[in-house]
Amino acid sequence: MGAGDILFFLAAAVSIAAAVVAVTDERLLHSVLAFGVFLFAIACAFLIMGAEFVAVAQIFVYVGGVAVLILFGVMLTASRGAQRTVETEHPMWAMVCALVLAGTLIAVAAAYRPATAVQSRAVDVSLLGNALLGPQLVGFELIGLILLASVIAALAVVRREPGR
Amino acid sequence: MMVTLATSVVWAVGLFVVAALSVMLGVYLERKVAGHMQARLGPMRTGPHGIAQTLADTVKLLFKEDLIPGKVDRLGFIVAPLLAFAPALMSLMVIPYARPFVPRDLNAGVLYFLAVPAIGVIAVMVAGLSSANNYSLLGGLRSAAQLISYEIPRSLSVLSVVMLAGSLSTVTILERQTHVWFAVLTPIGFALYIITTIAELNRTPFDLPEAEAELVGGYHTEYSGLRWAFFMMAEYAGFFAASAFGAAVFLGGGNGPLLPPIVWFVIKTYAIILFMMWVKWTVPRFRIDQVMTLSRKVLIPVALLNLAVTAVVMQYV
Amino acid sequence: MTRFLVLSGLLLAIGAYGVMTRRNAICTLLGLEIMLNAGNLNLIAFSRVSPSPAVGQTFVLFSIGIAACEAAVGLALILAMWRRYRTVDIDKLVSLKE
Repeated sequence: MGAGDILFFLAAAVSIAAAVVAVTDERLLHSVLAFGVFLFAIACAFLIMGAEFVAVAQIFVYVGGVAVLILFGVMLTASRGAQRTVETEHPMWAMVCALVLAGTLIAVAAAYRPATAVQSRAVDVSLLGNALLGPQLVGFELIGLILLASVIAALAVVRREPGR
Repeated sequence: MMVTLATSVVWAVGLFVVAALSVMLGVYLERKVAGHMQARLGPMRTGPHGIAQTLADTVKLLFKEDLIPGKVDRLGFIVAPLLAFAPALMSLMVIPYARPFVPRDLNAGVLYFLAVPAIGVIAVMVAGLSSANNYSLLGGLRSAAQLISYEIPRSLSVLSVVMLAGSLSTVTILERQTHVWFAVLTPIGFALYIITTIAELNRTPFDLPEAEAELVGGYHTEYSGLRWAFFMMAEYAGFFAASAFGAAVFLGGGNGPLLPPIVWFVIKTYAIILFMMWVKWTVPRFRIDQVMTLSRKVLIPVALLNLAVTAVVMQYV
Repeated sequence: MTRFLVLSGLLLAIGAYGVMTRRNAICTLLGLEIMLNAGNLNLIAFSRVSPSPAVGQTFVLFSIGIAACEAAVGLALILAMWRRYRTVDIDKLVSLKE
């Protein structure tokens, strides 16, 4: 077993464990912390796959943005009861659905044989830059628009009516 | 593969030693500089001119009682100081000490350095949230808001250097500075970097989250002994990391006429550190609304203008 | 290659379980983000066997950006719900029921 394999299994184990804790733990803060660990493990998985820029972008945006946002949400909606969450009464059906989903996806994944060989070299950042400002330019501009729209939407939703 | 693993472990231990040494030196320097700027001497008793002061402080903190208040969330309380210290260590990985002696030359090294303090933001919020204390919560919220606001102008200021060098790798940026420093080419960028780094490190004039008269201790009110020491270590290790990065990326750390590169690197790093300490003990504290206004209404437009000006300069000069 | 696909499938299922089960709105959002990350993992795995890996990675960058937008709007909605109902329990959102 090469070091790459060990690293992958470590990252995979941590991400699965953290995801399970994030979706099952009763205390909200523990859930969110486990989610943070999960995001970091996914960033490590990206690094193992040779996507350096995406891994760093994942840390920047997800850990530094989404996780912080969620923690802000936890802080602002703190009440006596909300710190302990209760699950629905029938988790068994959800478990069955999740197992079926997992089984199907794993079966398909195991049967997949890629047509071309896997490239294991890390993708250079300049390639990404050229793609973003070249063929993917429309997407690049559009995502700026989406970000603007979502910020305005979020502000509009939380605005207090004037006069309150 | 095992050789790579072994070298990685050696590097990790070495970086930890560097961080610890820089923390000890940083704390000592802080107290001496503060003393001399306030017309007094600072620590003088522990060792000649108080050199062993930090060691004495560490020993004292180690012997303090490890107090965990009853109502805190234990996992969050225990994890937060570790989460605060981790990014400072992690960011030491991409700094090119003594050209090109860099632990790991990532393709996107600059971005990695800018992204890692995001973990520190989470640490601050978790510390504020899990200490069952209103002052901690408020301090944590304010500190987190300040930290995330200043991440943007910081990234934009370093982006101007990335434009000039044409690469996100710190080693390449270092190599492109053989003729002229990037601080000379983008002085506004350098000034922005210094200001935003002071804000990111929660130092005066941006230290409202830690100010005693305002918020008792901010997010680290309930921490004592070694856990509190972790927050301090995180701050000073981050201080060293940010100054070293600034020296490498803006001042061409390691390039210099006579002395060996490592000496130049240390000189430039500690020049930035001493400048920031000078600012700390001179300027009064900002209010939180002034801090936020400065970041969003002043520094971000200036940073964007700086990008535009740098682009024009690159095109026509 | 297969190992990454299996991992992403597993994580998708875990995220789906989280979305289906949790009553706290913030925890539902966590499950949703786990699913999005699983999808990104899948995309990067496939970009490695495609002729232009940069396209797959830019797609993932867009996905990360859109996930951030969606988290922002979702949390704004949760905050609005908190203001109106003083709870974030989604089982309490029954005012449209007959």
